[in-house]
Amino acid sequence: MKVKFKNDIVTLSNLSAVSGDERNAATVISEMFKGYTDDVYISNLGSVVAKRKGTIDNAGSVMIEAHMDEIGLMVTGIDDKGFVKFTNIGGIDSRILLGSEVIIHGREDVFGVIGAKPPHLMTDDERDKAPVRKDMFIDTGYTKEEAEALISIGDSVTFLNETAFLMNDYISSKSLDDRCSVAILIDIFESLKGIDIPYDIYFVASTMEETNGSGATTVAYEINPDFAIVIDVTHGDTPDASSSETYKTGEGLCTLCMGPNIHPVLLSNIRKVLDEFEIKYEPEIEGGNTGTNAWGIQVARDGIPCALFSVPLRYMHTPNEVLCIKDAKHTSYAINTFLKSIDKAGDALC
Amino acid sequence: MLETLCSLHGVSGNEHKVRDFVIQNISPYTDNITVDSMGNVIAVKKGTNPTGKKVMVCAHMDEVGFIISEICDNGFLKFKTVGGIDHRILLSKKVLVGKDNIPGVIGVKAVHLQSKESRKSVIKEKDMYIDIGAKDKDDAMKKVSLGDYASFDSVYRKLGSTKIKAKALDDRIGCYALLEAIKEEYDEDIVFSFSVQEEVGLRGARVLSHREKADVCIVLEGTNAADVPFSSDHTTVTNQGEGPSLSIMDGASVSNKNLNGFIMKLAKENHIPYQIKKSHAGGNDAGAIAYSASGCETSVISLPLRYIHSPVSVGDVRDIQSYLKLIKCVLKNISEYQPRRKEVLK
Amino acid sequence: MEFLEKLTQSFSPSGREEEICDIIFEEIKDYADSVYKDTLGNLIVRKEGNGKKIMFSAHTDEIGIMITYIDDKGFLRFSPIGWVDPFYALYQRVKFQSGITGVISYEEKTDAIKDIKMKNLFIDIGAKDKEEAQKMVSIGDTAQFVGDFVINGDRVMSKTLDNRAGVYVLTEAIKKIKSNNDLYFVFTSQEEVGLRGAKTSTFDIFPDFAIAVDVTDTGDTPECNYMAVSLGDGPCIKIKDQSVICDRELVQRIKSVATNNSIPYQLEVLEHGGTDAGAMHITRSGVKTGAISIPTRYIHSTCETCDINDIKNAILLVEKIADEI
Repeated sequence: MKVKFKNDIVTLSNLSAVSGDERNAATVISEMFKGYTDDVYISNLGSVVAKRKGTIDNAGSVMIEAHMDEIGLMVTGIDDKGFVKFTNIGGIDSRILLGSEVIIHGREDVFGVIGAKPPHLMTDDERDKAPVRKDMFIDTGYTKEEAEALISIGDSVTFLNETAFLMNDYISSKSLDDRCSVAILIDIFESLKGIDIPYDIYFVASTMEETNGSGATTVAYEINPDFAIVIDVTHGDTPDASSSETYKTGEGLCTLCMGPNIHPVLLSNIRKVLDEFEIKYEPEIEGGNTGTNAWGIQVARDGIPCALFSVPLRYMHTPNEVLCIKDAKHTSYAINTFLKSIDKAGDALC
Repeated sequence: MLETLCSLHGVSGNEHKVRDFVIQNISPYTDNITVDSMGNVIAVKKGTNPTGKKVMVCAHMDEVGFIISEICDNGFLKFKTVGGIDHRILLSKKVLVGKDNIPGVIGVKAVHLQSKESRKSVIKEKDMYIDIGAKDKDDAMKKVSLGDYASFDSVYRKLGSTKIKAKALDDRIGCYALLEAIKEEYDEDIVFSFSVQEEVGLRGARVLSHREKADVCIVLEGTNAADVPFSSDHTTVTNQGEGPSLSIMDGASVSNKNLNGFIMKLAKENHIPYQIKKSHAGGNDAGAIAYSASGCETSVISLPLRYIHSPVSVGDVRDIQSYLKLIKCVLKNISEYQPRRKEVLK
Repeated sequence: MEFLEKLTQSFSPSGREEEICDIIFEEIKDYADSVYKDTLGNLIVRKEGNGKKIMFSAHTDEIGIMITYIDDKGFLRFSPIGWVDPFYALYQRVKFQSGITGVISYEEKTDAIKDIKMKNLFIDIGAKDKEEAQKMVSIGDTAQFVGDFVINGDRVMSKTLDNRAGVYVLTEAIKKIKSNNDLYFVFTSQEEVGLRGAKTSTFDIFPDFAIAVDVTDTGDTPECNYMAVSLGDGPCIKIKDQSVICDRELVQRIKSVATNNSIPYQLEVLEHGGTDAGAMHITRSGVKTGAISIPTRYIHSTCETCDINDIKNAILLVEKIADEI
């Protein structure tokens, strides 16, 4: 089962789904969900919604959400010599771009590398400054005419990167934010196989989290569940960041968020269950916006109580994000244990 | 009652003490009280002669404050701010932490130990901590848990001959006005709403207005009064002693012109002083209410407050009296006001 | 173009869109099945049909200023309505609905002109003192910027082509459209202060598709930032701006409509700025949203500049979309 989970993470993280261009990934994820239920559809804004029917009518419903989109680039034009200009989709540190290998998803996939003004043409001042995106371009090796036949303004661009398997169950890949959580959705579905859960569960792989969260908030409006559990990533421990800003990796832990974004009763019921089953977690405190889909879902329609689990992840928003499979698996276990512990969805709120 | 309201702690996301007090004080006047999933309180007071339009008034229960984000090995507490707080005011302030109101102070190393350079710069939230006197982490954890909220510790006091000082006047003053106003009888059914999480993004009002879908809403707020030294006459926003302010427009909403006109006319007829807010900055629950669902006509009546969002916000009692008078007067006469729902031209 | 001129010169800073709604209503009333105004001052024009429910929007409001203070000498202080750059505002004329006109100047003591902020600016309406000024204007009054309408060959220069160009496209299209689709043309309020009219009107209508019509930047002036949009190369089909990533399938369908009808078009990726589309797509359970943009230079100045052919082609494109989608 753990092998399947790991394979799912690898498969999912290698899909291409820059925010706003998730259609191909949505097809693959729909197929994965269809292994567990026939009730799968694509929402107005492109999110995948899979419904697991409960065994009892009127036992309410729960939405579990992870986003399937990833940060990336978008083509904004092709210059006279065929160099491709681009903008970013979602938050990207421009400093990581230089020398990156990318795929432009045009009429066909086009390989390119990111270049900028050569160092020997720079002044000393310029060399010390971080390069900015508008001084960079993608070199595909094609002429203008060749490039225009394959590439169009608006095409999305993803990082080209092979998944690497590091020591101790750590893996490195692009888009682990938040495909690891989509893998968790599937793992939860798997773990509930053959188990009677009274209430309906909606598994949602949402679009456009990295830009404005419109995928998740509109689905939440449509489903209007009793409560929602959001799964995303948070910052994993690195030697250059303090322990106040980051969370432990590799120890089979996840984080559970607290603050105004989180429904206090739902939170305390989750904590009770986790404590009872001796499932460890680290509290993550946010005084306002959690920067996740929970923020938008909470105020959808007449208000939807939210809880937020996060998997600690190093080097977020780079082509080489790193996480420990053990931590992701633990997150899955924490959530499915809680789901099994409640009879009616509404019980989690009182 | 205002003194009690200000003394309650209700940082955004943790408003239950204010909510309990509000419910207790409105219960004698209506039994139609709803608490929604976010913790907003929505109370409907039946009118004596309702015409069917839906009138809402709204004040927010929450206040700016802190949330404990880390308990250090040495027993000090790291925190994050909740809502917009000017970091310059935090140093050496008293706070109360958690549900048991554990006293603490916001500390930073003594000025003697700081470099000349660092003395000139503002100390950031991540370099400050709350000291509750705990010996170590275990000792601190007897009293405090991660995720506990903390608020300023500041006593309600008189200041000079016409002013008062307290924490959280923004927006307990609005709550106070609603609690006073609900005691009176009105022709129209009135929805008295007490929102949560205004300070972190107008979030409670957003869901409660989507649920209620009112035709008209008056938002009761506190606003900035910068009638202090270093401010020019045109940058005071509001002046204390000149009555409650009406907003034409702010960063989050445009007040309805007709509704504003109606309120100004009433104020003039009844000799209640008011002023027009001289700034577009900031925003309040009207920004959520005006634009939720199919939209709602809104106006904002605010009490001018100096040092808003600090432990020592200052209000003027004369303004408070006019504020109360104006709100009651508007609600008494609201049946005369015709909101525009849908105006068919063809 | 006479009607476009009339639109650009009409008065409607955000929140005060009554005048322009009257002008639009008079122009299109004979072509509409029904017309209404809603709570926020959106004007909604409907052409009924049995097909898909399609909503087109163009915002009617414009940037401007609001008076916040009148000093003893009769000078006015003000706040911006929408995004107003102090350098764009300096030495421009502003006009109130009453017709009273003023000029914007700045406090000369300001150290360096590059440090000018809004609070250093004031309006001179020629009043001798406070008393006289108060007879002319009141605190809370709003004013628009002044800018003539000029046609030079194929180019039109005026204030408020943002977004009277879009309003003009919709009003002209309304006159021509023959379609079985159920069409809503929404002239939205309060776009410049946060896409607000579009938000509530979309909630009400909840269409199958929504298409905003607005202006966009260009990248064809000396030493400007890169943008693959030029005046005169056709209306833009929006891919993305800061407020929205348009529905890819809808973009594809709009492209096909343009190609099939031999309408020139450009693809737009706008890196700064947003449109009504941003509010529309996120409404209720989500609305598939796109946008048509008129390439415009010097947006939010008093001399915005468009190409007449882009406007004409945009009208044609809207007309064909309404019928063929």
